[in-house]
Amino acid sequence: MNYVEVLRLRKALTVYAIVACAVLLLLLFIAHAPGHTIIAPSDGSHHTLTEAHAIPLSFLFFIAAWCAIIFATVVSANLNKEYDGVEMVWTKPIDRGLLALQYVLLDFAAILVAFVIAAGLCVLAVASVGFVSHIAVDARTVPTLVIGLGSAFMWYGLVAGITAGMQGHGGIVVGLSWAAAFVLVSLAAATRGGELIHLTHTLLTILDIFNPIAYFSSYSLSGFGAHESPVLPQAFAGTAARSLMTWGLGVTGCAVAIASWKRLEA
Amino acid sequence: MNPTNAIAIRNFTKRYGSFEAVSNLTLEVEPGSICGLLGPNGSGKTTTFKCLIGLARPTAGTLDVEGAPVHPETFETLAYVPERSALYEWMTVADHLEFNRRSYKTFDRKRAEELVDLFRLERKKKVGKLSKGQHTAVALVLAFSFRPRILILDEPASGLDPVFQRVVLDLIIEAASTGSTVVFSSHQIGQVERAADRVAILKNGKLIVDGTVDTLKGSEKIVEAIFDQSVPEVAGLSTDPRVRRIERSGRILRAYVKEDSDGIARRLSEFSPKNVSVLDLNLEDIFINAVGGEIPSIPGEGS
Repeated sequence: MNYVEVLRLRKALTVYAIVACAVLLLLLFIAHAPGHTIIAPSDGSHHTLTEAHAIPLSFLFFIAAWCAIIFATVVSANLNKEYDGVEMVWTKPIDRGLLALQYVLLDFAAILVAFVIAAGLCVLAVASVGFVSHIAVDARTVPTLVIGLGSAFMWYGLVAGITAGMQGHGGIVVGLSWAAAFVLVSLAAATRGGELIHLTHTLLTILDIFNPIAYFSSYSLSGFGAHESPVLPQAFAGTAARSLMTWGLGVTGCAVAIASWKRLEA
Repeated sequence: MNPTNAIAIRNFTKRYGSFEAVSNLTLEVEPGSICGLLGPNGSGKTTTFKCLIGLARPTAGTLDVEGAPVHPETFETLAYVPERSALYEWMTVADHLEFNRRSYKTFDRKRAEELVDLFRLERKKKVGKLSKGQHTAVALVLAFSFRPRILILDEPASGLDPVFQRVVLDLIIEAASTGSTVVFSSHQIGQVERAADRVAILKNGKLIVDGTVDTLKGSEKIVEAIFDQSVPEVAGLSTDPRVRRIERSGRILRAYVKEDSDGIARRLSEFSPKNVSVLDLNLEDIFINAVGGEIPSIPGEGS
């Protein structure tokens, strides 16, 4: 186990937990304000929560998965960061490939922890307004968990795959990945159905195959289990295909990252 | 080639695009010896170190440590101190020690603590708040704390004050006395002269001088003549086959003599100098002779 990466992740998770708690406190402040609680569910509609409503666990997982995605991108350039101290890490008695694999596994474990922290805080938030007994497992719970974490891992893998072989500048790639992901998915959704821009839409949906948000967003969440997506090609729209693609691209990205890091020169 | 050499570099070349950083370098270092690698900036010292320990790949040639190219297990017995700090700025000195403790089976906690005290480092201080010299000190503590058999030190006294530079030299000499092999580079030629058994000088990626310090120092003498007036013209001296080079500086004439230094001294005595003496070369003379000879004139001092 790599001590430096453990320390780095511990630090990142601490900051993450502090920020998440701050957000929770803000939500509690709003929730306890006079009036009632407004929760925006996954399909984009708004419901006024009363005691008659159940709170789908998939919705809490959806929020937690987004938090995990944010955390995943924060740690996705960790191998790239090591370039600054490569003389230190590459002169330790451990195979460079094995070391990179340790980094990836530790990062993945930290992403899971980030998800659990966020999910726990979501439950706390619901409990604070007295509705914890309304949380219910629904049909989308498992797909949301699998595709949500898959999307986080995919994003991590893709950024790690791109940046691990670079000499620094990993932070820039992380920032650009967010911009590109939102632009691609928004444009793909906006160009849907237009005859004149059909070709553009097709091209954007093909590019979205490599976009984690296309697999896990308000656009795609409504299509879980369906065979249609406004932002993905038809073949990738089903739950199984989304699960397979997110985890598959994540693993591929990590494999590329490990291979690139092994080839890198100081 | 001696198969028992601690380090054996054979026909090593490293190119970056069209730039040849090191050209056909062959160098061997015996176990338990101290080898000083000298050269101007950009002469290929760091590139050689990086390729030797696998941080970069050679374009051609082989670089062996204890008979084989470096592999992960090699680093159980090899320590490297890089020229630039590779420490984690956000980690404390104690964190770095813990990192080393977990990395090396032979990590010696007591030795590490002694070295931390020796360099007067604060264990709880973050590395990012340390001075350049303290960065170097931490890197040295880490390198010497697991008692490696081979030490590769790239500018190991960089940023340290003269007191700690002396400490570093003592550590190097002590390590060699217990059987460790040390290869180090330095711009402080006096340090190299004091510690090294052997010196290799690189220039533009090529090995131009290689030998034991005593042999190199004995290879030439300086005949120095000081005159009352300006230095006279000594006919035929510059073309004398015994003389490699002549240096004139104000009222001083120095002849770098390959053989028969007494004969050259007698010759100069004929011009009634105030004093004539035959001096041994020091490593600085050898270095300057090797890498270019001419010392740039200081503006405003008669240039």
